[in-house]
Amino acid sequence: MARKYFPFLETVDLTIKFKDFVANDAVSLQFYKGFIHSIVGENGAGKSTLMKMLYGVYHPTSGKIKVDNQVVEMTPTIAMEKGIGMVFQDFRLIPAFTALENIMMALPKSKLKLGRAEICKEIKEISEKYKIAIDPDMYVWEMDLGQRQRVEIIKVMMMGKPELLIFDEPTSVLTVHEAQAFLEMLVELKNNNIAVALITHKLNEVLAVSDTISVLRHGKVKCTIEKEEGFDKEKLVGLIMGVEEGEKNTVKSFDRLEIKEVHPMLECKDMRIKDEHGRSILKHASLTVNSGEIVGVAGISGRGQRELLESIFGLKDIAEGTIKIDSVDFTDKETIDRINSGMSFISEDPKRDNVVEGMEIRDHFVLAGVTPDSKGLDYDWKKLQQNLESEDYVKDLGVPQLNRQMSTLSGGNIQRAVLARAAIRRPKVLLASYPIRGLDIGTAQTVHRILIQLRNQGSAILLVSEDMDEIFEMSDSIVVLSNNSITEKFDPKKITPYEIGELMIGGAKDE
Amino acid sequence: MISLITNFLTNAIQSGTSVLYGIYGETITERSGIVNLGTEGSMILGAIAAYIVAADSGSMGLAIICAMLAGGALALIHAYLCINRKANQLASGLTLMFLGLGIAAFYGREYVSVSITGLNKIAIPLLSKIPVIGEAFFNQDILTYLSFVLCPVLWWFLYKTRKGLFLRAAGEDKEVVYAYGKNPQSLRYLATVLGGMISAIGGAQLSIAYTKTWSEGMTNGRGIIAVSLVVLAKYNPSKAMIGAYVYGGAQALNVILQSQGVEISPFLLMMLPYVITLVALFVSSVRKGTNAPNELKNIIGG
Repeated sequence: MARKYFPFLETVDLTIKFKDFVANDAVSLQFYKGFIHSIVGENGAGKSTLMKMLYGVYHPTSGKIKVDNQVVEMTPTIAMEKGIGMVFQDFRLIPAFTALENIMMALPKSKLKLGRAEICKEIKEISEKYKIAIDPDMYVWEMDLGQRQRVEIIKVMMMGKPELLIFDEPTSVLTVHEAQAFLEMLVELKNNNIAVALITHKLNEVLAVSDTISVLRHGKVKCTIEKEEGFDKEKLVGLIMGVEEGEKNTVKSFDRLEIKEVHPMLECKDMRIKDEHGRSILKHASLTVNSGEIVGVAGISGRGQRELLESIFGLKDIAEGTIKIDSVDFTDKETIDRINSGMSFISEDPKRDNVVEGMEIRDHFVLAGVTPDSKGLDYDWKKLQQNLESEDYVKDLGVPQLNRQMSTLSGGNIQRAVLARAAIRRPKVLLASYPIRGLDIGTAQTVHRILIQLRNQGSAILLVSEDMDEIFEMSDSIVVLSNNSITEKFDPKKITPYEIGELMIGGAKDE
Repeated sequence: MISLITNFLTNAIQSGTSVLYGIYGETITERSGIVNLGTEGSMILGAIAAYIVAADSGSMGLAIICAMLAGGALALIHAYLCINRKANQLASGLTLMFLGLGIAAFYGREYVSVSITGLNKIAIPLLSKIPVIGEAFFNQDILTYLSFVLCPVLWWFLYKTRKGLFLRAAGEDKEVVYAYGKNPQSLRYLATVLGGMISAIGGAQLSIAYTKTWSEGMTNGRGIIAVSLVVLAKYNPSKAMIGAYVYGGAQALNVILQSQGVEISPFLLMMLPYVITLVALFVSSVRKGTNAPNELKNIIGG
């Protein structure tokens, strides 16, 4: 793949400083038309900052951006004129509007005169040319996340003649099938001679579609690899996390111990669970998690994952059925009884469900059942903090200082604190919903290692995720939420992600 | 019997038109993400301003324009307090309602016994001769006809123009509007003041077309009813007439029952419009889903 042409967009020694912090340091990259260039790196490696400079949202402290070999002072307006489009992670769409109405708001001045019919025609042309199917008259609230993303993409493409499209974590919210369709669309864009810049955490996707991969670490380009040189996943993970070559990547090794004495730790039988509208979202749902077992729960989001975990944890009453923990019936017991019996819960949205924002991190450990020593009428907070700080889980996960208030923490740090709290109690039953959401690759691997450790120590773990890689890598057995029920357990060694995907979709059709 | 029905319809429309303007005005305002409980205040200021100008100058056109200016001015205060000063919208609206009622009562003292010619009914040829409904719909004053025309016009503005699209977007998610380089706050100013002006026409209809008299507090809660009927109309001008004429119909029923000598306490009859309005709200809220602009949820919930 010799590149005869000069790049469409090139950065030369691009540097940006926020006060003393150097977010990007002498970044030189080239983006060619008809090629997919992925940028990978940990959280805070400077990927998003770099992309925002390309789009003109941030202005570099030094260095140049060249478009078609001309130096450009980038602003969002100029970016739009030059055909640089950015597809944001949080789709900027209004759910109460149709796709067409959302697109109309974004049109540049030059297209203001167009009537609805003409705009619809243009949408249709783009959607046929690049095989991005959307229905302009559908309301956004009726769409799944994949459809919303397609609207966002077409919207960005209608804002100018598309030359370079920047995608910021595009597949993080998509299901397996949607993500697959998205990757196919990227290839279609590439074949139509569009330059694609892709930021993502998901290495498998990067490896599948990229022509070029650049690794960013601490704001610097660590290396740029071309496809013809060959991509190596292990090496890439090492580069992202800053492990030097030759050094053994220790985090990666998950040693699963053979558990000898297996007994059912969590038994749910024939449950019927209602959602907040009073409809039965799960019926005849049964599930057993044994000690020393990780059961992965796959399913399209909103199929009852949240209701299932909340019911097991006692935040929600079940309409029918029984729940046993370690052979004791807990169906009618309170949440606090379940906590005391050794159950921990990591919500899909810890910020909403797991933390009191005005309180400090260490307070949360006490709330969840870590009992500190008394000191006078108060607790001995100092000692508690020292004890906690010496805990491996707290250190490994990089939990911030324990006397910081939850409200001052980022989403990733809240996730760390909640995980450490759950792990520290060595729970009998751990309910974990999307435990690595919002974490970078390094921390995500630590989390996975901790889950395996807990499993080896005999915890029964229920792991809810939409990430097929995570489900397959972590689970001893897999169940699928579909058709308003829970399937039997599948052995991850005997079933493929595609078959699981089919089961998930099968449930999606049946309302 | 036929004449009774015609009489009922005529009364329902005459009485409902002022509320209809209130619903139009408040719909525009709420679509942009602002709740204006001061609609009642704008209406009563419109009523007194129109009446004073009509009595002193005799020009009905000027009367209507002055009504709009007075109602718009009150709404402007609301816009400033809520948008620039980030005041509590419910508190500001309620207070402005009472301020409007007070100002109107103050300037209206000398006009209580003044009579005006007002806006007369104009029969539309042919259409007004249709049996039963012709008289009710097509022998009315000019402001009533204007309220018929405004229905498609406002709907078209909100749903078919770019300005309307952005105005609704400001009510759904102001961050998105910012992202497209537009200022949601100026759209809200526009919608609040325009809403006040339209509501004020309703007040003018009440004083110079329907009753042709001025009495203190004559809007009698119509502005407040209009605010609640916006929900029944699903925040859509094209459905505003349903709520307005349910209210107007209840008022008309009240009048007719009294004139027929039905033995019910007049106090009970006076409650009828509100009870019917409440029932209508109950029925509409039972249906699933909400059409409320998203930004309003921060103010009033639900």
